[in-house]
Amino acid sequence: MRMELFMEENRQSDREFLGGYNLDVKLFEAMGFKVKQIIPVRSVYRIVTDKGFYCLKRLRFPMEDMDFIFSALEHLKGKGFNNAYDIVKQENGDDFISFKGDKYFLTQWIDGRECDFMNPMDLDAAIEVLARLHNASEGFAPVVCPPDRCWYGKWPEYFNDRIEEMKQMKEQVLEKPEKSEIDRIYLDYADMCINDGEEALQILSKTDYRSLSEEAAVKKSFIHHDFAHHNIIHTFDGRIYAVDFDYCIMDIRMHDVGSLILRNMKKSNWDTDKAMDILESYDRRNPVSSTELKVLVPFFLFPQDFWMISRQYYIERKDWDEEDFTDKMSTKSEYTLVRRKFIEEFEKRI
Amino acid sequence: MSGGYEKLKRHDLKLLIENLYGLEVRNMQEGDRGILVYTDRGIKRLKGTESDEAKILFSASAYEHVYNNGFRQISCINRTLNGSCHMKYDKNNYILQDFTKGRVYEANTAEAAAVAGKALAELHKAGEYFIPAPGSRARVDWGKWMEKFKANSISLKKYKELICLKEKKSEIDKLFLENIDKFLEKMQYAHGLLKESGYLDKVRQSMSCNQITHGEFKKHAIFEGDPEGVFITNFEECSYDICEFDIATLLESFSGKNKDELAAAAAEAYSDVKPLDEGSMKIIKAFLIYPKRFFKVSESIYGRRKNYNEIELAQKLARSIKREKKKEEVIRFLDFGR
Repeated sequence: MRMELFMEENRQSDREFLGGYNLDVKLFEAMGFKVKQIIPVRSVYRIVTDKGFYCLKRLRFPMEDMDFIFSALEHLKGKGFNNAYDIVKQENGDDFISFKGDKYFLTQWIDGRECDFMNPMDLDAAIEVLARLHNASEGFAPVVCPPDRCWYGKWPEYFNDRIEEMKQMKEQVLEKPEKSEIDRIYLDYADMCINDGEEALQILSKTDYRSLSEEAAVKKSFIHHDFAHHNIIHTFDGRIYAVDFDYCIMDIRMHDVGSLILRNMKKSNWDTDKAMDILESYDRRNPVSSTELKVLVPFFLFPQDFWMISRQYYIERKDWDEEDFTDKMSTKSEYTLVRRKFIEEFEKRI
Repeated sequence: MSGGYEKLKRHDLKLLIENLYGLEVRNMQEGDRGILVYTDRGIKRLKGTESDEAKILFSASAYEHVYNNGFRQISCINRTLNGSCHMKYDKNNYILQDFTKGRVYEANTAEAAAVAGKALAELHKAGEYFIPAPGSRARVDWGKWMEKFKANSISLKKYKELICLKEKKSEIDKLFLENIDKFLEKMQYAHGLLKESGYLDKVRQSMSCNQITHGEFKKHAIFEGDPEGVFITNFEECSYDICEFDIATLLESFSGKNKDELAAAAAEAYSDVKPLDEGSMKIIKAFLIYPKRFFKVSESIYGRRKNYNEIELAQKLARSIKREKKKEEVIRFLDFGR
């Protein structure tokens, strides 16, 4: 399993994942209902049954990860966080059902609209949910915490690994006798991104990141780790739900806050005012220390998008459309330039 | 079939429609807005759509909502015998609607503009408290305009900086540079106007009553209806938003020398049904001032750069500048007309 530093919306991988579902009438019979309609929605299926609406998910992680995710959800519920979905237990009381070598589970279907970060009201509501989620996450003691789910103090290690990977990919591209459009874009930006990565690592070492991680470890708090607009659902009667906890990890809360800011920056043309608004809104609910703010600088500086898209192309060799890859590579590479400007401004204001 | 629907096999389609909708298809004929299907239950229009099932379900339930709320100048999406709102053929989605005869509505007199304004207000009234069918994917535009105006003006500033750095400037670059400052000013003004006019309060109100809006309420969406009425089409693009967006789109679509008079008549007729306050008028003005066409073309030239054709884009840019200018008369009505 590979966990990403922050999650990207990726329709292509959703489609690939959906293709792996082994949908069969017998699966639904085993679940104890009759299915009337099956509709794909991102990486899940909405199923309409004689007993109501459900969300069907295939397990994409090993069992110990799923146990971790499910116990995180249980923990949130136990702490009074009612903005997460419920797992629908099978007739025998299990959370999962095995079918033809795969495992599936059901959650209640939350009908509503996806959050829109361009809408200030939606964004504020999302921040409130995130702040409450972080508070409720404290005191989480899973029976087993898979190593990949424990990120306390690991940012330097992950930064390092990714820098090394970018260097390896650069070597690989340089060795190619004929360079494609993607190769050329990669080479144009690789040095700049490697430098940014190294600088991020250096800045991180000068912050109090370690003590923040230790504090979070004492508090035993976890984060959502994929707090994207499509994982926040507004129902039409005014309730808000955070969904898809597949990537939740034990880490400092600034990881979620930083990712939320970055997601918004990409849509708002790196508007520092908006970044500050998000921080203020979060701070009103969950006060943020200046030490925490400083950790955001290396987090923002690290060329996560560039590393990820390059990795998907050169290492994972995803079978995606070349034109799509070129577009993505080009957009994400350009972030490197604008991000620097944004960080300069951001540093002045924190 | 010929033209845009040439890949469709007439016989396959006939059987599919008959089986799915329980209709007897007597004839089919391609029109400029889809395929006309002559059935035992009247003439239907089959239209291809790029929307997925969840989006179609959203607009189909919006159609049904406004219709059931008393707005009858609209033709709902027909459901299949098993309740689905679309049919799939050769991997594409299609919707079937009752066909309405008539031409695009000519709103060239104050009376005609008033009819369009009144119809829009009635559509908005019927569009309140809309909750889509479960499983729909809602199109939502609530609250995004202020931020969008700002983000887009940042983009244009960035393009300007890049062009200024170029040693050799193309014809497009020159045209862009000649006009950019004026449009940036407009964008900032429109953004400021939204901010001070209580835009977010209007969004809050609209969110609290789940207001659905047309989304593309321009000339081609209005057809001649009963002797004195109009018929509304293209509701597939409907979205959750504030009503002022639709009003601005309508006012902008008026053409001719008496644009300001038409705009005034439409706004007044709208206000008789659904009162517009000063804040609303300012918001409408902001939407009109915002140079969306100029931005859109500039974005395809300097932003996305997809299907880049310099000659075509230069013409588009020139056209967009002209059309932005044409809006000024309507804006003048908002300044002095009320």
